[in-house]
Amino acid sequence: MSEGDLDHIEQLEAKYPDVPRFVLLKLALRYRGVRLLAPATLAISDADYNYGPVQVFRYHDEEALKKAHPGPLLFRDGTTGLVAFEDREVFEDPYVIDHEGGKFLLYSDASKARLVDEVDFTPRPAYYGKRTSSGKPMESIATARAQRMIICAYRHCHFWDTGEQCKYCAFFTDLNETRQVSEKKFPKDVEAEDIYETVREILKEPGRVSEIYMTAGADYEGEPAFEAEVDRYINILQAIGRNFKGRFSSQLMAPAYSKAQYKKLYERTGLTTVCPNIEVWDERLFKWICPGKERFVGRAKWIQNTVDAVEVFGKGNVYTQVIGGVELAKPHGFKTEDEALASNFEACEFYSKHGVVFVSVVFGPARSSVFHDQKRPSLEYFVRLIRGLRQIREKHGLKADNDDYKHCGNHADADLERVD
Amino acid sequence: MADFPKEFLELVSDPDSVKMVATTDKHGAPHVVVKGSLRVEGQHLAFGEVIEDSDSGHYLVRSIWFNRPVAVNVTKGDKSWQVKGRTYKCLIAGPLLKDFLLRERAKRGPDADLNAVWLIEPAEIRDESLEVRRQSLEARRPLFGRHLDRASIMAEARQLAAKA
Repeated sequence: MSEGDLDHIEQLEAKYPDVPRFVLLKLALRYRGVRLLAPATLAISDADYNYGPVQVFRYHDEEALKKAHPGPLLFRDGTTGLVAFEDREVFEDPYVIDHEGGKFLLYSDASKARLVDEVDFTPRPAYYGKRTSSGKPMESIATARAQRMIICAYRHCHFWDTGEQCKYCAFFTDLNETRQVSEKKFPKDVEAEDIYETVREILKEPGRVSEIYMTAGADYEGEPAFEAEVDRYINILQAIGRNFKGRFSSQLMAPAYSKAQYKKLYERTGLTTVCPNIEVWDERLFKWICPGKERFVGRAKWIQNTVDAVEVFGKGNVYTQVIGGVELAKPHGFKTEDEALASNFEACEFYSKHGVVFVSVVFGPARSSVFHDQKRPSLEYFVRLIRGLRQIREKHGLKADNDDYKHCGNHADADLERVD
Repeated sequence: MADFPKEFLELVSDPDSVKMVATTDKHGAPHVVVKGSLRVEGQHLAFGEVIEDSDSGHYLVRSIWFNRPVAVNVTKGDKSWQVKGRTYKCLIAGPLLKDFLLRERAKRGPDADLNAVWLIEPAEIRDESLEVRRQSLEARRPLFGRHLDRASIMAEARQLAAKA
């Protein structure tokens, strides 16, 4: 048995009977990675499946652009899995997916000794392959998950300019080098009109999307800080809003703005939820891992702004997340998993008391991030983490609707709420 | 996997038949709801779950997570068929979801919505029509539980009934 393999999953299933196998597999596939065998690669080249390599958060060179890529994985229960495919990361012993009899089948390893389950991939949205009136491929404007449209409003994070980026981050890199891709290769700005047209196009496909999610690289220009970024988001959200009668289910993942900035966002747009991610709760580790956030906002203000946002958006409409596992990064992280869990549960308890939904994701050491060679905690750590977060949120009457199984796919703790 | 009998296929495709789906809550208590959209889809039964946060939605998730059986009954007049099986798949995107959603909107208007399409893999299909069940029971246990004043048992049933 090794970490995250099928034997281990079965052991965890017996130990934590309230956590279904689908959710354990979702964690495990993120953890061990997935290799697509040749028949599966051929099958995802089909027009119904092929998302292509274009992503709103990363640049791909010409060679990569020729390859077929699937959308997010779907388990039989509808759980979205944002798995790490072997062509993007290197894994020692990944799960494998084959295509047999018209179905995608997940096997425990390359030997295919054990069939795990039938899986599927998110169908390619109808707007992929179309262009905006200015000629931009719509899939370069927005990425689709099962029920979420992800828009990137600005493709550069200025924390990287001074080497103060979050240490786990690989956004706007080519996934190989620890640097932002140049403006020439990957233009920073995205036109509001292109976004408006892309949203309008996805709405033509019945039932394809139930939430619009927007994020971007951090841009601290303006007085007060981030004012230019807030105005950019308002401009884009107003453009998106031309598609709707009033408020529309939406989430903005961005820095923790001042209450005045949040009010401006709420009053001038149809935005419904915000997500200023704390990333790591411990004060010492926040300063080490997120130096840009510490310098331009500061942890204490970040937390206060997040709590203040509840007064604007309402209880349960402000989210924050941790990158589960970075709190154990060496050399400054917690020494034990119990200490790390205690820190995360303290954070969840604090935020929940203030009406903020606190969720987790699984840390994946990306090649182009500072933390590319960090080891992750045990898979069981993540199982304990998601169970604990779900219990705390439940105690406070909070549910992670905007980050659930069909919208995000990154938050296994939110998936557990499907039976609550 | 069970094959669908012709009589069942006719009944389930009849728009006037009533289709019900039974699930169980976390304590095992049964929960039955009418699912008018239920139909045969290949080797499975398919139906739309309209509300994201409904009780039956939670119990369907519980059934696929923890391998709990579900039951379906389709009925019209004296005809009744029961299917017992397992939840096989929950579809939250794709052509089948789109098809069910469009049918829902054709029926209820453009503001109608649909959370998911569930597929059930049948394990047992049985004709539950009263006459079929009665004949089956009486063939196995001819006198079991019969009231003795039934016409088929009493010598002078007609006369007694007339006097009453």
